[in-house]
Amino acid sequence: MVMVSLIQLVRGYCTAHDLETRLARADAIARTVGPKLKTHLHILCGGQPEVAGEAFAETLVYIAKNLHQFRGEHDGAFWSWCYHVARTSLLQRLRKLKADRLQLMPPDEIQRYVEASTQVEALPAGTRLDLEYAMDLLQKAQPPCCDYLWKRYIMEWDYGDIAREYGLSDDAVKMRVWRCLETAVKLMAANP
Amino acid sequence: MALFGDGGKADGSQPLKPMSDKNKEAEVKLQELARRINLGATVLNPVTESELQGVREAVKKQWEFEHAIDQRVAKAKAAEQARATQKKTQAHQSAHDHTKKSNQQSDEHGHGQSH
Repeated sequence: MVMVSLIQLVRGYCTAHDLETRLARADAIARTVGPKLKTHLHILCGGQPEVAGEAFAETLVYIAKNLHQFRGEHDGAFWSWCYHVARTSLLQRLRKLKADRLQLMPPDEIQRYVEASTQVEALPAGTRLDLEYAMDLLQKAQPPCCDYLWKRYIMEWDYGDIAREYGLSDDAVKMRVWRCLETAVKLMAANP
Repeated sequence: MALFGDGGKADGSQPLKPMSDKNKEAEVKLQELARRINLGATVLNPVTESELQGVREAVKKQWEFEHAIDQRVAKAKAAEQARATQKKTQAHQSAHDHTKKSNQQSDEHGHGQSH
C-alpha cells in the first residue's frame, strides 16, 4: 500500500475537480487527524469531556470549511494549524462557560489510553516500566513545568507553538522545557 | 517562578548545556508515552459517523459557495463579452453608416457640380 502524507491529502483536496473527490479526501483527512485532535482536546479539558466533544466537532467542521485556504507545505505545519484551530475552539467554549483554568488529563485516563494502545500493538514489560516512569515524571513536575512538558512531549507541540501560547521566544521556551525536564528527572531520582 | 530564577522572563541568551543522558532517556520515555496515547486514541477516539457527516456538509457547502462564485464570474464575463461585441457591432455599424452618408454627400456634391 502506498502511504499518502497528510499534506498530499490536503493538496489533493484543494486541487480536486469534482465534489466526490473532495468529499473522499476530506473524509481521509478527518479520519487521519481526528483521533489525535480529539485526544488533544480531552487532554486539555480532562475534567469536561462533553466540552471536548463539542469543541472537536466544531474544529473538524472549521478545518473542512477552510482547508482550501491552508498554505503550509508540510505535515508539521498542517498539524500546527489543526491544533491552533482546536485550541481556539476550546478556549472560546471555556470562556463561555467561564472556566478559568484547563485541567490536564488525569493519570487514570492516561492509563486507559495506554491500555487501549495494546489492542493495536503489544506492550512489552520493559516499555510498560518506561511508560510508568514517564507518567510519574509528569505527575511530579510542578506548575508551570507540567504544562511545558505536557505540551512539548505529550501533545507534541513544536517550540514555536508553545512560544506563541506563552508570549515567549522559541529559544526561551526551549530553555524552559529543558530545565523543567532536568528538574523533573532530579525529582524522580530523589523520590523513586 | 523560582525554577527559572528570572521572574519568568528567561530569554535564549544563556547557552543551553548539552542534554544529559538521563534527560535524553526521560525524553525518549515521554515520547513513547505520547506515541502510546496516540495509538490508544485511534481505539478510544475514532471519528464517528456523525462527526464525518458534519465534515461532508461543510465540504458540500464550501463547494456550492465556490461554484456559485464561479458561475457569477462566468456570467459577468459573458455579459462583458456580449457588451463588447455589441459595442463593436455598433461601432462597425456607425462607421458603415458614416461611410454611406459621406458617399451620399459626395455623390450629391458631384451631381451639383455636373449641373
